Amino acid sequence: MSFGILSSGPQATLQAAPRRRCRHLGVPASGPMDALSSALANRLVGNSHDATAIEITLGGFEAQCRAPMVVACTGADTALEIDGRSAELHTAIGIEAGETISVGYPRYGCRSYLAVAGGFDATVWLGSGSTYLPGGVGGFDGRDLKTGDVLELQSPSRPLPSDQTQTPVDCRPTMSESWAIRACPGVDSNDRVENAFFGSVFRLSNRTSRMGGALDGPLIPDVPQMTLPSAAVFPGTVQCPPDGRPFLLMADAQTTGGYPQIAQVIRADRHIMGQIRPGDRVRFLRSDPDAAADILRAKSALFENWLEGPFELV
Amino acid sequence: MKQAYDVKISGDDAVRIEGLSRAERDAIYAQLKAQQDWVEVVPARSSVAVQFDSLLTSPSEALETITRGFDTVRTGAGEQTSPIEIPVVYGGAYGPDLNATCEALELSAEELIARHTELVHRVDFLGFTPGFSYLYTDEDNGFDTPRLNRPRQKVAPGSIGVVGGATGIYALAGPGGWPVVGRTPIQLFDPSSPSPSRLVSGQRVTFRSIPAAEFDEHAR
Repeated sequence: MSFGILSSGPQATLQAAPRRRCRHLGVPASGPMDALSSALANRLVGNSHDATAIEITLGGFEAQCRAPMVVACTGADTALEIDGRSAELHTAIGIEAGETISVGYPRYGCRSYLAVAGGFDATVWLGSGSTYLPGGVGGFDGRDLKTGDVLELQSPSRPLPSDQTQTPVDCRPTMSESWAIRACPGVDSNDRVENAFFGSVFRLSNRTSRMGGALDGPLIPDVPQMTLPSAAVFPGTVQCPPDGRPFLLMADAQTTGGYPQIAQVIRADRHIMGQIRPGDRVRFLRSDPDAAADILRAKSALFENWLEGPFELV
Repeated sequence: MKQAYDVKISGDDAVRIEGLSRAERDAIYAQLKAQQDWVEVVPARSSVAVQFDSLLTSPSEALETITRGFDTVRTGAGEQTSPIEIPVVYGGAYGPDLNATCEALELSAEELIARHTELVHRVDFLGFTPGFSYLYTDEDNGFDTPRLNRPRQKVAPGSIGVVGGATGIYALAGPGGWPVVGRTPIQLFDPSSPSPSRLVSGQRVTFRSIPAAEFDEHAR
């Protein structure tokens, strides 16, 4: 069975389970930038949450299915077409051999997740099929998809769900152009930094990728100026160099850094980072570790029934 | 272990233990790594960070479990492995920032190369990107240079940078903010290997200057 890429849009990569227990080697987790949407797409087609799916950035994606298959598309608010006919997101769809799928430029949100029953074949590296672009490893030969690429499918590993072929409405994440994300004050923060950071509205800069993005807006005053020893960072860490311009780290970010860490996005909200696109407004709502752990449990419980188990959040 | 360290919680699922000496960091890293409870245990210059599953373990529980063992942590002298020798072409196209670095340090290229190659360096930790190693020397080496004002978009694999007394080796191509003084033809990161990074924490290293004409013959 195979799946031919006709157009990849600005960036499309294969993403699967995050790479774990490798940060001490300088290897980040990678995986889907919006792990919740990826899990929802996989669930619709009967896959495990972390089966290999295509992460499509800002639409422009078109592919031809060369065999019958079942697909689902979630994530950003986009137009989806099967052979030119309008189709619905968050729905398991049967495709005939020869039909094309196209995912349009989103109205809101940044990344779409296209899952196929059985999952796509991917090169596994250090235990994960996720693509790590800076290292050229994992996924489709370690690179983003291009016109002419042909993906192979694994056979479906479990029966397709016969009922509930659509994500329940209250399990569909809302897309927006204005985001509020919960974060805790960072390990290198101070009161003045916190008051400035948690009170400001930023815009995600054009300087953004799967490694992370600069936050344009008011400068952060009183950031510690002395050179700090390099320390571990994680997806969701906000670093702020002495010039006061913060940077939000994401799935492919480096594993250590020497700039002050002024905030840490809570685990429950990290999937939101994957939907912020350049120009969108972002503000950070102050949380604390215990409240954040409660929020994670509550959010996980919301999805647990539909997803049939907790889903992996980076 | 002395009480000069500090423990901080980062968000709901990570803890950082900082202010550690090298020996303390190595001992704590080994202790936490052996515990198997953690999603990630990441050593850095003077800290160890732990990422845990906050669905299973609350931040305060994680803090308690992590620090519980500190009383019994014993710092060792550290293994004295024999140093491996890394051939380097210094300067020219292989080390585009060598001249600027020499100027900043008020050394001639010969003096800088002599100093860099006579010292025994030690891989302190890996981080930043796959296979990037941070090397330090036990004695003061005088290479107190700042990062580049603007990082280079693309640094060649094997590039050797010097910042703030540390030597960094870029195993992969990619962006880099360290001034590059030379390059080694040795492949330091092999994704197809079960131990992908050629250099590991604690590895002792010496550098040997080779002429540019010999770059290719030393590749391995």
